[in-house]
Amino acid sequence: MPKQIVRLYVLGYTPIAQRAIENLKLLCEQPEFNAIYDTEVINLLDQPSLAEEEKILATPVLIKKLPEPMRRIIGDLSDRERVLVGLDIFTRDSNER
Amino acid sequence: MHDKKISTGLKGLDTVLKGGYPAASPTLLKGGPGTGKTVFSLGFTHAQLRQGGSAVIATCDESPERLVGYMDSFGMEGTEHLASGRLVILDFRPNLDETVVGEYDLSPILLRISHAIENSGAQILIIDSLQNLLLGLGVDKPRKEILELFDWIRDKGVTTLVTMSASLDDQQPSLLEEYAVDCVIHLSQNLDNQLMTRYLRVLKMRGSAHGSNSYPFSLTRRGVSLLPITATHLDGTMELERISTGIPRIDSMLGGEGYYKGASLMISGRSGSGKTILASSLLNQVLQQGEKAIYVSFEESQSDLKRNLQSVGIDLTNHLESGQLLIHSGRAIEMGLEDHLITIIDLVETESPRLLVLDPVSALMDMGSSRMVKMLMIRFISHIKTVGTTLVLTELLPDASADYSDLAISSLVDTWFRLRQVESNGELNRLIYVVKSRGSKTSNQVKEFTIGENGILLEDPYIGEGEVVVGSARVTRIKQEQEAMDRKRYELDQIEQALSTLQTAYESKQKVLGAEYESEKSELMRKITELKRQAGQTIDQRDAMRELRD
Repeated sequence: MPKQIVRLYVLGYTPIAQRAIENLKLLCEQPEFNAIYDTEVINLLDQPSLAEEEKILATPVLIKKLPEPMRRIIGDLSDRERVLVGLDIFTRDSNER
Repeated sequence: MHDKKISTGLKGLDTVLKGGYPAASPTLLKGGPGTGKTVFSLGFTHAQLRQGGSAVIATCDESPERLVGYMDSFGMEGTEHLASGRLVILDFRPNLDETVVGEYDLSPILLRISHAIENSGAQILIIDSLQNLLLGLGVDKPRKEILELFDWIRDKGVTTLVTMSASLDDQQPSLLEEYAVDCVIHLSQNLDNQLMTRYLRVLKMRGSAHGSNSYPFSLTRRGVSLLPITATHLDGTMELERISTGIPRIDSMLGGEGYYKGASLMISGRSGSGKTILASSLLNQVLQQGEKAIYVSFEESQSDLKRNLQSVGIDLTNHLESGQLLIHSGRAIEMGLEDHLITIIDLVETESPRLLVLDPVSALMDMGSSRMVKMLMIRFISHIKTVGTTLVLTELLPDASADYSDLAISSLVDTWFRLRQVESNGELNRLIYVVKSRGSKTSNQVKEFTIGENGILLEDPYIGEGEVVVGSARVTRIKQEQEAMDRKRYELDQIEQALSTLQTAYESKQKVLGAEYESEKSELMRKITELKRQAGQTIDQRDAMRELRD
């Protein structure tokens, strides 16, 4: 199965954005995540029209389109477990197990 | 900077704001749900687009498709403007499938707005509504990014309208109102006697005068209508042209030529006194001159009115078909007074008729406190006057009343007719008189009128012995007078005849006398001649005898 791409949108490399990028790198080291996803970081300052297309109101935002359903996680991704739950990689049940 | 204003697209609001929203700065439109914030913003957008400008709308609660749909249904050509690229709608609705993990900022809001404005060259920006934008992001207080957005708006000189819902417990002005915006407009709705009315109030306007009252407004088919306040100044233009009432005797009661063009007339009377028919006569006269007119009836449907007027010789069918006459029927209780007046003003503005009839205006009067009603009526009457439309109001006086006018608006009208029904000798007779008519020599007479197949007919009442006599009593009096006159005329004839007889007698006697004189005279003359002849013969004989003797 080919890997899906999750994209992290940032607006300039602000301290929060840098933290989010760091946290995303750490996330990629997780086998549960790495098995399914490739990642890409997009600076909206370079492509402002993408903010419109994706209807982004806050950054940083991590957007997973496939597999369905679409998930969006706003923030610096500092809580790895909540990010994985948010991306449906961990369900709450498996987390408890 | 602040003296420049941009039209709001709503005539009344421009007046309240002394020109419009402050240009190049943000204005906050605050109001509860259903107060029309979105419609205000769409109206502003449309005004801008119609002038050839461009606009960006950041929508936070309605989908862009629905906004365009609203514009289309209000006749604001949303679809066309969107297609032309001059209207840009940014979808700022919050995503419900978002999770927040850790810190974030809202700078994409500014990025998207600035990007859209720079690309489209828009002069105005609408954010509808800020509250929803913040709520969707789980933010309860305006954040630094929002204040930065307002700073940016000011920097770039974009005229901005931000809507925000006003929560009930929100007594303290928010940070936004105190710091970020230059103008705050508050919208609210009041339920009075089960009827809802919307109000607008300007709370703040930096560096500029503004109207400070609470102004009623209405959401109509064409968007937002604000009851105009323009004409509270008494600066209407003077009209000298007179218009006939269609009934010559009523014209002469008004000094000969009828009422002034653009005047406001009131017809007061109890039920059945002929108010509608008199008003329709005025209406019909205007229609026959080829002018437009509107009849607003709170009692009769269009078909009832048409039929009832046909029976008194006023046929409106052709005028209705040609669109020259518009009959607007509706129950007074359908909506609040403000909404009624606004609807009527809208009608007047689209049709610009020569004459407007409100029948009866008293139906609107019990729809609020008398002070408020009077205030609204002053605005209404003076507005209609500035448009130059003649206003005919009928007032239904309660049967139990002593024929006093209930309405405190009689002082506002220019010409005031009173219709009365007087009971005498077992019949009701109709009377009309002019209570006042500004700028004309009015008749002080009470006239009797009848309503027949040809409408209103005025009769001269019998006036004698200090009282007016009407109806059959009038007929009797006239008859009595006629008889007395006939008797005198007969007597006169008699005397004249005697005189001429005397003359004839005198003349004939004179003739006889003349004849006698003539015959006697000629007899005497004959005798003289005879005697002279005989005397001559005697001399002749004597001479002859003397010759013989010689």
